[in-house]
Amino acid sequence: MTPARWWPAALGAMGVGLAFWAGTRVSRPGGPEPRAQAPRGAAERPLLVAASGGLTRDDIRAVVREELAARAEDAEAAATLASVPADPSAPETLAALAAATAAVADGIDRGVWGARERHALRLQLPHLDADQTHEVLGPLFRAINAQKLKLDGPPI
Amino acid sequence: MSTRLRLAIIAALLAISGTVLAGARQYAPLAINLQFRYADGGLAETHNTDDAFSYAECGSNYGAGFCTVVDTAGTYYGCYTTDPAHIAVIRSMSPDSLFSIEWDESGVCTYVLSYASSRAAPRAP
Repeated sequence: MTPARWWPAALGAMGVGLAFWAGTRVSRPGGPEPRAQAPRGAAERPLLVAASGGLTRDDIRAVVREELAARAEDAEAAATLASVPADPSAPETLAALAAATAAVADGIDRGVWGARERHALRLQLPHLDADQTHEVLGPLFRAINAQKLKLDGPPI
Repeated sequence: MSTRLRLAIIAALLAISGTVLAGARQYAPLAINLQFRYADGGLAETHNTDDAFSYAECGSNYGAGFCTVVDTAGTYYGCYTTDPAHIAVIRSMSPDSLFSIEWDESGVCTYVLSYASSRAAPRAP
């Protein structure tokens, strides 16, 4: 092969090589990040690996504490759910339903669903069961979808 | 082959290879279909759009969840749910999530999807 023939091929190969290098740079805008290589047996001995990666016992304790706190919050949320009244026909529940319905009707009448309306609804929602929540939120969202309400913030 | 042509070929190779190695990208701003009552898009990409109106948001309290979307004309649509499974999906969303929702004529969410994708653009400031 004469130089005149192999020169374009060599230049092309060099271009592909450069393109590969450029591509790896483009796909990681922040530059290559060092990745910790998991030693053999990492799955079996995670704590040992974590400790060898620079974590102290205090770090691990902090992580465990955070996890326990998160679980406590979940339990608290579940307890809140469980506190929803079981008797939807109780007088206080019916009063809450009436107040919530009135709040939604008031908002629809005025064409605005903002902080005031939302607050009035929020006071009552915890006292309603799922069916009653549907009874209240149904008209609210039908009004939103019919463009009868201007939303200012979240609906609930 | 002229030098200019060779340089052009090299430049093209660089550009094409660089794009391929960057990974697939797909812009997913908010899209609302009123005929079939669904909306989908990326929360970050909806945030990144140039218009001053469109947004999408989902949230939940202890027993109900909602999603509201606003199109580029400032028109509101939304749905709510008391379904714990739907609420769980809503709670799994992050600001960079992509989402898809469907609702019925009563405004009840009949479908809620949240997912993450490498194709989505990150949130711009």
